[in-house]
Amino acid sequence: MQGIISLFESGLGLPELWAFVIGVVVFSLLIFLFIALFVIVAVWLERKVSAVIQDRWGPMRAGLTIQGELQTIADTVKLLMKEDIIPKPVDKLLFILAPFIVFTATFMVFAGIPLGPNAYSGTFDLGLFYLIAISSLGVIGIVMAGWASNNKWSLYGAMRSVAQIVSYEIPIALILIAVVMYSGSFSVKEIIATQDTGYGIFGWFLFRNPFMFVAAILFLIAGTAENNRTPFDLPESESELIAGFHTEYTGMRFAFFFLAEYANMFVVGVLLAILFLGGYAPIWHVAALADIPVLGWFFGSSGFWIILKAMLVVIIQMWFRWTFPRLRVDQLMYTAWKVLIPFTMAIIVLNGIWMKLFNLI
Amino acid sequence: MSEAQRIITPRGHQDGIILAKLDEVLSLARSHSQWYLQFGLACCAIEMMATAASRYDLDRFGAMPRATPRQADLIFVSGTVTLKMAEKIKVLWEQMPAPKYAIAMGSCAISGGPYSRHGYSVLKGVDLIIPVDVYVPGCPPRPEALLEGLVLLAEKVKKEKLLSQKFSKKRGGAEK
Amino acid sequence: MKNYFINVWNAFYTALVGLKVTFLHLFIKSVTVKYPLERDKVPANSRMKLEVDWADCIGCKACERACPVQCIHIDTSKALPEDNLAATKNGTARKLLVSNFTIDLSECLYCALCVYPCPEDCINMTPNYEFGKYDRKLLIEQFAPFSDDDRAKRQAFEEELKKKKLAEKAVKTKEKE
Repeated sequence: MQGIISLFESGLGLPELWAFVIGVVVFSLLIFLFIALFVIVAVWLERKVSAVIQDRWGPMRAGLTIQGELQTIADTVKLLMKEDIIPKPVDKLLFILAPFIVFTATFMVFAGIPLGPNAYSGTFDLGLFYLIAISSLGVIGIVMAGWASNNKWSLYGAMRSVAQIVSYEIPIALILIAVVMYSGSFSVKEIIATQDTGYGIFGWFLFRNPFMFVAAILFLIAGTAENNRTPFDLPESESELIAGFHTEYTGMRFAFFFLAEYANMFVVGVLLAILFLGGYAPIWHVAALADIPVLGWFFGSSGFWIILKAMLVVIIQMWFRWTFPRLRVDQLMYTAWKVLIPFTMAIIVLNGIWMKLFNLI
Repeated sequence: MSEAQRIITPRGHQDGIILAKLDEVLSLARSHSQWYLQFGLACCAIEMMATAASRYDLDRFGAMPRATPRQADLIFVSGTVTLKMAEKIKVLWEQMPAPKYAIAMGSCAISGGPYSRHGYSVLKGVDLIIPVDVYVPGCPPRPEALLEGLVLLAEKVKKEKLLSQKFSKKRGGAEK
Repeated sequence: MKNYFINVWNAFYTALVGLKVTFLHLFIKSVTVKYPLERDKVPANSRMKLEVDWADCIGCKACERACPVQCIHIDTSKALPEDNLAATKNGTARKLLVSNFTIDLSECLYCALCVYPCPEDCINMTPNYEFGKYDRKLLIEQFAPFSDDDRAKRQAFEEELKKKKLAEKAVKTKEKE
């Protein structure tokens, strides 16, 4: 982002303040465009993944080919054209604000995500801390939505969501500590640099020791729970709570919840990629790859690698969704407090012992 | 009507060509994205579930099940509408947001079917309480018949001109 | 403590089994019938839309009486010489002209009870299932090939005939007295 700001400042001769404001707006628009594009692809992909798993065909009527690739665009247009209903018994201000807060929280997370060594929107020394802190901010929006809707299903959904997200924050934070023990820094840049040892995938934290491998799996489980996806989709379980906290939302307001959910999936994917899969570092460093005409540009750019890794995690999350049945509330709490937290604590201890044994400290 | 107006107004249309074209695109998009309400009444509902399952696959038409009427565009009235249930259908219908459609599936929903003469507790056709767009006959209809109903509905939606209607109403002219 | 670890391992292991099952579906061909492009083959004797061959109907109303929901309506009138009604495919001469033969397909049960009593085999269940309509009235199928004017004329003629008969009867009874 600094690059863009300085471009406006020096290139167009704007005063510092104006350059900053315009730079921020341009960068936000770029991120928004990226999220929108990702969601359009991800929703279509989700429907196709579900179709493959259920031996179906998936969307096929909307689009130029038989694969229905314009399906999500059609859905978006339709959601835009829907009537905007605000029910009478609703707390109007909170009701209107809630979807935007949920989306803004997710949107702010993207500020801390690096697409390359220099493609930052901002450099934080506590980058990882920022990512985790902001990503749990969306809960406020969800509670607002549930409370303001004045609907018992919404309220139940919101309460479940809070319990769930607060519980699953802890194992995620503990896993972060295990990672930081290796990298010695909270900075995202530093963590990725530690993994980029030149040995390809063997430099990843995923393969540093057996406990880190378990930690990655636990992170994936906790991350799936964090963004309310099956098998942890209790806040919006269709068969129990109609649609959970967004029961009363129509059209575009609902679309924002939808957008936030899928963007969250990407955030979990990116976090897993940064922590365990080497972030934007390429899987293998081969100079010859960069010489291939079109693909070389992709293989050469760091953004390609991190998006590829994140997409893989996103697809695994979709795979989860269409495989597992939903957990009960007590089982959900059991998983968080009695399985994930003891395991992650044990991982931290074992990690320390391992590092002492092999003189890594 | 001036000469310039005549040029931008194609034959039969009250509105400009841009609005008409935009309407066409929007209606095309809407016709491919009809999310239906998860709502079943009687034996026709079993057939509706079969339609949503792998072999017939409603998802191909962009029809996704939504559990809440607030996010649904389409309601399949599938089966016998008893007088008791009629109230609930009316409520659900009122809760759906504006461009909304209804498909009456099966004889019972269309006209009361076998209960049309002697059913003391059955509503003689849902079109008495909600406006039905497509009637799919059968007792119950095959899943393909329901899909055909969906295709018919898409054809109907494609011809709609929501934007033109809205703006022409604002100008105080041209009813539909 | 041992149980706890066994439980955790079981949960993890069974989850992996589930993931394997769904993963293997990648390699299974989809079972979907892509409806508007291709259709399932329906058995020839399946009970879908009712069809009536008007040219074979003798107006006996057996089907109307058999229908459990009374969705069939038949009006007949005496055949006129200028109608030139041909015999049915079974060789039965048609003495009545079926001026109105409607089936309300929206009420029909598709039970085929009307098919069995028909002496001329002119009412049949066909495997055609695609007849959705935009209007409920369009589902009332008319099988007699007459315009409404024609039908009205027929009805008027029939009523006249009836009146004449009644008048004749009245005259006869008077004569007897």
